[in-house]
Amino acid sequence: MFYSIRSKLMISFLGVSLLVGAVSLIVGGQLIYDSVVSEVSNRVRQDLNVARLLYDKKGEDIRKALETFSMGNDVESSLFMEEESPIKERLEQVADRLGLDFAGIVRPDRSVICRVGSHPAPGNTPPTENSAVIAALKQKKPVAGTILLEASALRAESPDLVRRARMETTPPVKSAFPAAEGETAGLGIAAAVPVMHSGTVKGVVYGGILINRETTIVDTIAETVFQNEEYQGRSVGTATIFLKDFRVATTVRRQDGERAVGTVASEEVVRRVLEDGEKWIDRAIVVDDWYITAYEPILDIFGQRVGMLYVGILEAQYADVRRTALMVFTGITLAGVGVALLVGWLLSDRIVRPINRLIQASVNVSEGNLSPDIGPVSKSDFGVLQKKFQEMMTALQQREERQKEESETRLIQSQKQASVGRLAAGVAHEINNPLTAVLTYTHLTLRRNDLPETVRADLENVSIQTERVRKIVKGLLDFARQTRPETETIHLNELVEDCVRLMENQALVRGVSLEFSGKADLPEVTVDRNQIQSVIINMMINALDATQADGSITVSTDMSLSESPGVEISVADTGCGIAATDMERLFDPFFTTKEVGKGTGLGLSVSAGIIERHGGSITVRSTVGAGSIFTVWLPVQNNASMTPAPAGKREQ
Amino acid sequence: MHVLIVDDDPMVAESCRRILGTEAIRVTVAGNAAEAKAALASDDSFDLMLTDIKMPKSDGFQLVEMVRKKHPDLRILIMTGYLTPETTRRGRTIGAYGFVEKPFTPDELIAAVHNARK
Ligand SMILES: Nc1ncnc2c1ncn2[C@@H]1O[C@H](COP(=O)(O)OP(=O)(O)OP(=O)(O)O)[C@@H](O)[C@H]1O
Ligand SMILES: [Mg+2]
Repeated sequence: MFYSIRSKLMISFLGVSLLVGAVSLIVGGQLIYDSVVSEVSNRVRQDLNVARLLYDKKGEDIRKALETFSMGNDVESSLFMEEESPIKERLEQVADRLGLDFAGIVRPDRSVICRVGSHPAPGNTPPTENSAVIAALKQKKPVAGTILLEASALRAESPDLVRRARMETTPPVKSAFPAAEGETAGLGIAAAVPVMHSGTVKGVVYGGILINRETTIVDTIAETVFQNEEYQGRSVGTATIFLKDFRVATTVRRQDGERAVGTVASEEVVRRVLEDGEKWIDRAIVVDDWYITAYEPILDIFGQRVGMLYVGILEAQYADVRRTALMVFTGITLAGVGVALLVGWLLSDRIVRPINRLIQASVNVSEGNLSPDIGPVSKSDFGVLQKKFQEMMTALQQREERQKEESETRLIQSQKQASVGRLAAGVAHEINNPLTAVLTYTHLTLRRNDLPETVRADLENVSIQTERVRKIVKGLLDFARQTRPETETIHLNELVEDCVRLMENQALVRGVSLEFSGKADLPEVTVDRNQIQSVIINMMINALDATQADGSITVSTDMSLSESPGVEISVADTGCGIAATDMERLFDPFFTTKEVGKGTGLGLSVSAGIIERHGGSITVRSTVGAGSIFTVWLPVQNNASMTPAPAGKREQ
Repeated sequence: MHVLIVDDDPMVAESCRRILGTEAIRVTVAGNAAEAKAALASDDSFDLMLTDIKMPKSDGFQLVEMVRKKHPDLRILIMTGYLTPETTRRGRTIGAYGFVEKPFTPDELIAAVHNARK
């Protein structure tokens, strides 16, 4: 079944369509996905730049506000007052407006003059550890930027901030940024403005935001950049600020809807961004989902890498685009497979049906039906085969008919021969006895000297006519003899030459030239010498009888030209030829055209029997008025059938 | 010379007698195998036996076989109207000297008989 043309066709159709489908599926899907990813990556890169601008603007805003604040006269004068002055009120107003988490005014020795928020009295407050202040004192000019706030620094600013900065990590995560038990450092955006008086720093005004758990910055970024786009209930864009590798402010939500602060970035990102200081733009898992992400390091005011800024776009919508594309491709492929199967089925049907019909037809032929139905002849090249098959059938039919005819005539012929044979044998036996008496008395009487001439003449006639009867009977008997040939192996040329010599005189008398041309080096043949001789002699007598004076007879031998090895004896004459109507009766017993007394018409029928028993054949070619050629073909080796002895005895 | 002719057809036997008579050959005629045997038993002067093959009762071949045993010196010619190769072969194996084919002319018979004589 699997080797049938149909299944082969179907399988190849299926294979091709599946292959093409699969390739377009993979290549197409990948192409679409790649272009989407690269486009999204570009977008994320730009988004990160925007986020960076927004982030940096925050510090600049604070700096500008503090600069404006420090220009007031009350600031400078407050530097020389011991007790808290109304300046604190103004500072608190500024801090409120900017949403500052901490702010204060310090002396050059970092001792605090005033601070916003609740904290111990100024006298008892420790000097500030705020690195923005330190940087401003050192540089003697305003600074703004990111700062790292150790837990102690936070506590110095306000105990509230320590609480806000602290993050529970459940489950506990291994962070690259070690934090003391129960405490977490803070990341801040801060600015510090030195208050100068005649070239020397008299104090510093500072303020800033603690980013830990801060939501406005990241939300602003997310809003500005992603415009609160949502996909299946989740916001498409996310933004996060890391303290080292630690998420301290983010719009990424955990499963329970809480912001995913307190979790860490993947090691790969940390290595690339924090350790190598490069940008990262790639797919990455953020908390639970795949995002197309962009990270870059955050430097503090001293140029140290203290954290990372991140924006990411949920990959799910693009994965869905890919899934949809893949599904469309799959659908197209399946449809293609279906069409291929259908076309393959129809096509193979068109091919296979006539083949099956031919097969069925040959089965019919082998069962004996020589005119099977092979269906309509196709116009394709298969039609050639069908036509050839039909031709073959016609040829077969014709041959069958011919063979039937031939075997019928042969049967009739041999039946005729057998019945004539039996009759002849019986008659001959009975006739020969009276014939003996007739011959005896005629001859004995003719010996007498006292016969009157007329009586003698009559008697002589009796004698001649009796000889005729004797000849006829002898011919009959020859015909009737169905004996096996007594074979010997002889040179054919010698035998034929003997026959020619026997006939030479007669030919001479008739004025007909008789020639013999024997082919040299003929193979020997195994035949009954006497029988073959009688065949050749009969052919020569027939030729002589048919040929006028001045005609010629050519006897020749040759190698057989037919496929099986054999030799041929031909007797050609330039005689009267044989009429077409006589042709078919030529080998019938008693068929003769010769005048009464000259021929019995047994010569060729006896010859045919002899040659047949030798496994050979006789053929005739004749043109009326031009002459005839009789050819006897005899096999060279294939006459084992003529030796009747069983194989065991043949050796002797 | 004394020749025994064995033939069931009296005309053939008579023909032989007449032909051989012209050569002054003594002829005895037997109409069947039994008569032939009787003649051979009663007379030992025969030089030659000429016998037909196809005869009623016992056929010529049996007669030849028997005669060859009892009279090994007697030459035998077989006369037949239907001389097939089988007849020749069989005749030779049972010891016939020669064959005469019927019908024959007087000259042919005389030649055959003289030829069979030593
Ligand atoms: N070479 C020939 N040319 C013309 N006719 C021929 C030739 N050979 C045979 N025939 C014809 O075939 C007939 C039959 O030939 P066949 O040898 O069988 O008988 P026959 O020669 O007439 O008599 P038989 O051979 O018995 O004496 C002949 O009478 C003659 O008409
Ligand atoms: Mg002839």
